[in-house]
Amino acid sequence: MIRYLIRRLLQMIPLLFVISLISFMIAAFAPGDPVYQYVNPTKKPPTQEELDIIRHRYGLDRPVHVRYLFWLRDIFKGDWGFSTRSKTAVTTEVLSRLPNTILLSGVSLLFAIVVAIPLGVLSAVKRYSILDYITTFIAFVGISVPSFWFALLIVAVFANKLGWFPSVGMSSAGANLTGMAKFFDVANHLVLPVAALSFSELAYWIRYQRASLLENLNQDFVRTARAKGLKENTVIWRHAFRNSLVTTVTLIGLSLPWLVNGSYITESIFGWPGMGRLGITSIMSRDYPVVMAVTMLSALLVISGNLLSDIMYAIVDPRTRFD
Amino acid sequence: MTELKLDEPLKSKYPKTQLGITWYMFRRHKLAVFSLGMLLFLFLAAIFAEQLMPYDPIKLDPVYAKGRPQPPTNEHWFGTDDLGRDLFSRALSGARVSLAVGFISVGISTLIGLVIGSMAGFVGGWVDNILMRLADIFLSLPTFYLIITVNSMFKPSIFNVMIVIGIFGWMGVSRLLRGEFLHLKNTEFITAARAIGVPNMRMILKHLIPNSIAPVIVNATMGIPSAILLESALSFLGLGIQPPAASWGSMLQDAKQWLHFAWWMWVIPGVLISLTVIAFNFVGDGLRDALDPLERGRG
Repeated sequence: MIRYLIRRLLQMIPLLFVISLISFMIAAFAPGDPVYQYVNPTKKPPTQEELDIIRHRYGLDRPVHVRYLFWLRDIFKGDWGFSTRSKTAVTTEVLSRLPNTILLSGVSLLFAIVVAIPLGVLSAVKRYSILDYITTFIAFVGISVPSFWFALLIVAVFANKLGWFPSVGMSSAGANLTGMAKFFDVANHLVLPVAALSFSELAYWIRYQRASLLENLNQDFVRTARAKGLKENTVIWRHAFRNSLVTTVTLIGLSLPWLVNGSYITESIFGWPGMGRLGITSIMSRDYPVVMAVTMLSALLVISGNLLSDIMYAIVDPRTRFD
Repeated sequence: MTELKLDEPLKSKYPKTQLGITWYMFRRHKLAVFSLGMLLFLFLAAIFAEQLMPYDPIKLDPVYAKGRPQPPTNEHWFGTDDLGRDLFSRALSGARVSLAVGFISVGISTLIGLVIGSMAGFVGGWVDNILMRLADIFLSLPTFYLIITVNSMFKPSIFNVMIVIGIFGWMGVSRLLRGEFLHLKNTEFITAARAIGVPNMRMILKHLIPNSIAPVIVNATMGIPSAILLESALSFLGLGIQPPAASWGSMLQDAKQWLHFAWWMWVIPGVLISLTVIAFNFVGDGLRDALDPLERGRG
């Protein structure tokens, strides 16, 4: 197990390397002269010599592969460069947003798990009941409705019409809250973004949990368990459910990228001060140092998600062999 | 008593051509048939959009709009936006964009996937290894973010959206095809074909691909709704179609600032996207059942 883990972690290095190379090349070959990122557009347009000076100062006169190697060297020193938009260090910029994204994604993930698994189990156990039909319907809606549209919908209903929850930001503007008051304020702001972010994932998981539990309930070992005279609850939870988790758990790990992707749109809609919104704003303003940092972090999350799902798979399914 | 005449072919309702069998099986999936009908309707609407549009979708009518969106009426079935543009006409031209993006980008990714998958599966060895690692890398890329990045760097246009979505979507097809190839390579008819000296290219195009295309078709059908959703998300962020042209996603973006009272502006495009996505998913479902030989025995 440990050896497997080490090998997988080592495999991440070339992967991240290739990803960084691809994204760097995309940024480097984008049309438009990158030197203008460093020019204040409100001032008088710079002369050719001034442009050359700036170009030289930021190393933009070097060929692409040299620039990439320099970038790579700086990364290893922990220096991600400066945002061309806000002129602050990329690390400061990203680190100030990261906790907010982790909060939003983490709560969404937890919420989706806590809701989806029991609902999936219930609709499998009570197959073809009214409850099953309702959850199936909700799941289908969740799968086919665009998540950003669902976000607009809940904003229109719960924020604008009913006024139950705030629709923008992470905390009430101007209010200097502390302790529990602050906690409840943030929690209140979390409700709508979490609902928007987790809805479609939740829908998928319900379907998969239902399908895999149904499949397991038809297996011989479940019949044996029933024939032994075990209580139905024990049969379902201890025997069938445990085995059905294998599918769901893999799925949850694999959906971490979705959490990352989804956060771009969700954070933009709800004005959540997280990485996703930072990513979108920096793309729009061609702030490549930040774009690179956000891309690499997202890639890292995606890869770790895959790894995590493999590890969890091994935990739920003891038959898994590591080679 | 009727006598069975052996020299006359049995009259059976069961169709004989491959296409006939598929249609026969597909018809049993009622929801899929209904969805197919709906999609055909949408297609016709998209093809004849120009003839069907009651108004020019980008023509402004500020006098009618009076600075705010106007609700649906007999003249404007879906209402108008704050600039007085007819939303029914815009929805029609949006249908055209969504379907075009769905089909072209999935066409691109399926084509790439076919080439890469058949190369990996047919050649095997280190070629297979490299190509599948490439697929792994693409699978672990933050795709959505890269699509946004690429798209924002080049002048945002609907063609870029199609190409970019296509380029980042081939991994599933190539893996499917590779798997099918690996399985088919050990079957007797391929050994036989090899024994009589069928050239490689012909082997791939005439023997291997036709026998492994079914899951690819299903995969492509299911890929279309994802592409439509991606396009609408990009347009929603302002990175897809550029104003004044309309797609369902950009209509939602226009609607964002009128959420509080112009329900028709955001409900209609959202419902259109959702229905289209559901319909494609059902058709894909039906196709999977129809193309699966294991299902065919059960009539």
